[in-house]
Amino acid sequence: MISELGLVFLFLALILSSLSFIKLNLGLFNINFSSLCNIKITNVVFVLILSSFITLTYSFIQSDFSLDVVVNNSNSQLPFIYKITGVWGNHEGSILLWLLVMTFFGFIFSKVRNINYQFKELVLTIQNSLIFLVSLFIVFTSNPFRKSFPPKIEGIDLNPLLQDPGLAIHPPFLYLGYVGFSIVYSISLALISDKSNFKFIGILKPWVFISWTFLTIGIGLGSWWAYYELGWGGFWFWDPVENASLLPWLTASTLLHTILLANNNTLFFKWTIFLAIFTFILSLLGTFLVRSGVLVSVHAFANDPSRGLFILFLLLVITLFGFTRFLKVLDNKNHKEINLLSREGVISLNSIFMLSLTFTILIGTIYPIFSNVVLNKKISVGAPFFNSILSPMMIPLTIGMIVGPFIKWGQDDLKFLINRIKYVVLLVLISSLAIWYFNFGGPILSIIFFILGGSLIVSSTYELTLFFCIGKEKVKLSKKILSQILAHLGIGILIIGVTGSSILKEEKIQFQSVGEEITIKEFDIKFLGVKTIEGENYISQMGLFDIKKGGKFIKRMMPEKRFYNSGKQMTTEAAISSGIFGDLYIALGDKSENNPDEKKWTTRIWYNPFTMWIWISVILLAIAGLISFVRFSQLRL
Amino acid sequence: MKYIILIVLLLSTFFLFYEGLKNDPRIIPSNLISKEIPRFRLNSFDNKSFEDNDLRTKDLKLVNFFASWCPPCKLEHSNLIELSENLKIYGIAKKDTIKNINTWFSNMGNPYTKIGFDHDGMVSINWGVYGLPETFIINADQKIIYRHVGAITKKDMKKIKLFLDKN
Repeated sequence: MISELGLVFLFLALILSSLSFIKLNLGLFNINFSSLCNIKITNVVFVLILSSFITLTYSFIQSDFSLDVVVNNSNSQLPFIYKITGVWGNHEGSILLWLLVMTFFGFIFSKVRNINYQFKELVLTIQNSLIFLVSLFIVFTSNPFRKSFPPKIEGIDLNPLLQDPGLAIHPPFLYLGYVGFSIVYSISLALISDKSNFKFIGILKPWVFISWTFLTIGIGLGSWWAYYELGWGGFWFWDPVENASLLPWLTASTLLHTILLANNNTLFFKWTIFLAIFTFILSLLGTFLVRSGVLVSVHAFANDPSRGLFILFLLLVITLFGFTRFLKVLDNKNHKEINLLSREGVISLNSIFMLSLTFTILIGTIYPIFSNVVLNKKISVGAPFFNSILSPMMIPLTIGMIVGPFIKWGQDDLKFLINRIKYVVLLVLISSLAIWYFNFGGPILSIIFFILGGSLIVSSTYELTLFFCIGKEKVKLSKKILSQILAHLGIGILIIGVTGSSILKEEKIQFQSVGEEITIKEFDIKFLGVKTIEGENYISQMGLFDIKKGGKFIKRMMPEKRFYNSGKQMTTEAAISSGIFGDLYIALGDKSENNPDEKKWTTRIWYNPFTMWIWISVILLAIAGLISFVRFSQLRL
Repeated sequence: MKYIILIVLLLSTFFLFYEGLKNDPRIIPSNLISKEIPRFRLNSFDNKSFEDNDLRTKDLKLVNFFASWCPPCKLEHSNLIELSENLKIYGIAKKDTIKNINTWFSNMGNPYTKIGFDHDGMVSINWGVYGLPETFIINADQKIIYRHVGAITKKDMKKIKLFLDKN
């Protein structure tokens, strides 16, 4: 009964938001009905969608098997927490969550004080129109409140891979990031709707930073989940769904830089608006690629061409609307010249590199579609392509990050610059030589990237120390500098983490008999056997491994294979022993069937150097983003 | 006017996506399409032999890879019987026994003109079969013109009948 209410809320939200959509379209023809208050609509729609979402959550908790979505993604035996996360562990529910986040951002925006009333109305007209389009999508193609007929008495189950705390929080964060850019899109379009609105560019800043922060955390969590749950020994596989989240992250990272200069430079103003629009479009494109089934991806949502068609339609409307508006601003030519040797120059150059990187990854991601449609050949583009384009692009980008912060705004002088960075150069040289000397036994490519990452860490740390010991004067460390330093430090650490865990990774896959010892790096890994244990809703085979280093026992590792639903579905729970210099990673495979008397199992053992640095870098980046958010939103902490 | 290239590029990208929606990336086409049938020789159900020459006749026919141990094969069985009213269907049973097939046919009928036993799976490999069931359509010129992976459902029947009518 209560689930009908959820659908009613959804319909009411659709009807209310359609008013804003009509107003926006009439506005294009200069017809005005200004009596409509979009702020109120935003607030009511938020409450409606929130109620609808709570209703759905309630249905999941109550195991209401009269709903299709509950039948397919839940089960009365499911632990309570996964009954709740099951709400977004499927297509319909996750799109409702997406809509909820969209209305949430609109709601928060409507509550911000010190924003010109007319401007706020305009932003919310656009935001409500987006909400209308997404509600339409839900009602017509992805209704989570669809009844199952005939009603079932038990649900199938939530995909066991999703029964994991990491994945429980990954989608909400990712959506806060993706969908956060909807408000960024709305604000940008409102900014360029009229020349007199250009001055409100500052309003955009906190939204860009908070969305970027959420997106960073969301990607980080997804990657972390893939690392320990899939049992493939890696954290990034260049799957379309991963690329779909990386693309808006790259443009958003560029946006973080250009927006700081958008106040008083028309060129950067244009860059900012372009990137803001483009980032949201890329977020939507990701949704299209993953949900329509045009590409094969680890995110195997039930694909439905009618859904794909609808998202494509949304994407077309939003892209055309955004870019036709943007083209008008493009004609405004009177901007200041930019010197190459200035902070602006470096940021411009880096923006171009970042955008090239984005487009190359984009082309790699959608090339299988092109090849299929135009060349009639099925291919997939894999890691070698992406790695080989990423590596050369990272070199200028990192150098920009090392030198950039020391270059002055406006115009710099090479002589003064060299004087300013002489210690940095010296430190970088020393650390490079040290890395070369201790090169961790890796190939030349790993040395280059260790040097780049190391140099970035050194230069950022140097920049930080400048504020603590700059003679007798006490210089206050501003939030602006601190967030920039932390972010660049994060990227430096990320480079080392990624290089270590991809290029220097060691892998051993074998049939291992009980009692046999395998040596990887400096560890001796003895296989003690497999025991069966029972969990709340699964049965698990647990492998026991004793780890020794130099003959001394360190710890016991216990990777598992879990069988859910009376053995129909299996998940791998890798055992990971993390250390600052590397992770020991063990995944248990199948028992050898060649000879039943032999106690041999497939074991996959990896040594992944510096993987922990990746997670540290995500935390640093998130902190940096939050600091900037606090600074621009003028929160008092 | 000056943005015409951009607009064309944008629209063609959307057109590409639109066309892409019609394809299922999970379906991998056979390299054997419009090529001659591979050579093979197998023991047959009636204790004689079944070889590629049996397929070199001047009519349209189906070759169906199946096994009595394969549940989806049972699913498509009634559809094969329906198809067998209008054309010949040749079966290749993978890793199967006469006894098991007999039990199956006594319950559900036999749509096959001839059945070969692919005991070691070599013929299946030569045809590029990676899962059961798979069905190939062979035309009068002894060329493979269509491949269907998985069970033939009611929905697929329409597609296949349309295809058969065209040829």
